[in-house]
Amino acid sequence: METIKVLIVDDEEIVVQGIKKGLEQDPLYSVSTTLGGESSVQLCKNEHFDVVLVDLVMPGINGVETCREIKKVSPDTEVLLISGFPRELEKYQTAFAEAGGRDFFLRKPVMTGEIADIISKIMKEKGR
Amino acid sequence: MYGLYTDFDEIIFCCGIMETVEKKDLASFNDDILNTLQESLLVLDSGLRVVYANRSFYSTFKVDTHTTEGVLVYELGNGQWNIPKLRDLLEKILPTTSVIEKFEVEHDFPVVGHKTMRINARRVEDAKGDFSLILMAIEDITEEKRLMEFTTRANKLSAVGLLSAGIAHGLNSPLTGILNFLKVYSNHEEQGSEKFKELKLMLEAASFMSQTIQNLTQFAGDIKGAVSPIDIIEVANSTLLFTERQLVVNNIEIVRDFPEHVRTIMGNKSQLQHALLNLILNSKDAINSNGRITIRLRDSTVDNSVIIEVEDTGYGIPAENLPMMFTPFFTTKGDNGGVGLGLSAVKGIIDNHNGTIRVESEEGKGAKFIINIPATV
Repeated sequence: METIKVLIVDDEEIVVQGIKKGLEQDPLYSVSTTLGGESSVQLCKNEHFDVVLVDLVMPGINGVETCREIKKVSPDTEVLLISGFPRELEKYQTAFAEAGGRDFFLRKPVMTGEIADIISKIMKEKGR
Repeated sequence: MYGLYTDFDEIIFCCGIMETVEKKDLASFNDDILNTLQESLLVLDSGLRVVYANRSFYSTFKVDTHTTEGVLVYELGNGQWNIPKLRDLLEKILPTTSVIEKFEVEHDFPVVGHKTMRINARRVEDAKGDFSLILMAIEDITEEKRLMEFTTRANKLSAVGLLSAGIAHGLNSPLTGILNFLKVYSNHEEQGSEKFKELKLMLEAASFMSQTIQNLTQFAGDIKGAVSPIDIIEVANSTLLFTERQLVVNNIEIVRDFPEHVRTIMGNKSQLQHALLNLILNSKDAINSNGRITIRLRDSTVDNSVIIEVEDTGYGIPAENLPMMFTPFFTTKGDNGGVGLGLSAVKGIIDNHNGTIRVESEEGKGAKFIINIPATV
């Protein structure tokens, strides 16, 4: 099976490393990480990712803006929103959808099993 | 002009009263006035025996004239007025000041229950000191106090809401990393090895932290949640999916008493799952091991609502703890339990759904939590 390329974007090292560790237990996933919205857009310009997991509240551009920029440079990349702030997640739901994000919202602390389930659902939809 | 009119009116009014009074007995007129007062009024003689009590006193404290008049105030109603703070007021304070205002006394009365009273007292003497009476106006401020406490609690909760949102934000991120690392590393260890056990302990502790944060934010009403039509049967099944294994390990049998269909409710799925999960885990703790948890779902027969019951065969709840069950930070689980937020979180969630929750239990005979949530029309 073709590997699924995932990018994790969060301003906290422990979040990106923890999720990367969990997902990579399954060889199906190839996981990259970065600590900010701007740098994630750069990465998406140079490399194609199937799924990007983006934190909502970050210094610099936030999750919604990051999603909008990523969709500009890589329209078929699926972007999922993650946050430790449930109220914020709901506040930005509509804006995130308008920016081209998916309607799956991940609440921290999220376990990689849940993330993997969502990714495989999305991949199935895309016929992979 | 207006002032003049008012004065004039008063004079006419007073003349009218005096005429009426002359026709009647003055004592009965006084009695009428005193009986109109909302406050309870007691008149005591210098020996602290009741000379007079008004209607409000009799109705508020559920006593009658012949067990009241002529009786020593402390002996009223089988000694239920023998209140240390009142003794201080009458014997120590009043003889020195002659007027006391807004003196608050709290007392549990055997018949009328807990009362908070505000007392205004006045000692009346003639010039020679031959004649001395104590007038005592007693205002029942129990409800006022309760409302005040409620408001204070609501204010505290909103402060806790802000605080807990901050805590949730600060802790959920690091916990994401910690939980995922621990999960991976424990999976790498041989089951039963010392390292495996230690990692499992850490994993459980981190999950507990996560649960505590979630409870804190939910009882403080932080998460209103996205609302959609909910099939409560599906919510119950998905919640049991998470917990069933843990229950089986503890020899706890799960009984699903579900009909084919129940009415649809509008709500937030993850909140409702969280509420049900908290109730199931609560039952599990009450059982410890070897017992049964019954989840019963049905349409209400009296109104358009859905009833969710979680019943266990655990150790039950002592009567004195029943009123405290949904109070934040109330716990009987001691050091190994929680911080007392589980059931208050459940209540917060049910409140958000315009529902009600109550508990029926007897010590040693299990407990039954009954939730009622309005269905969609």
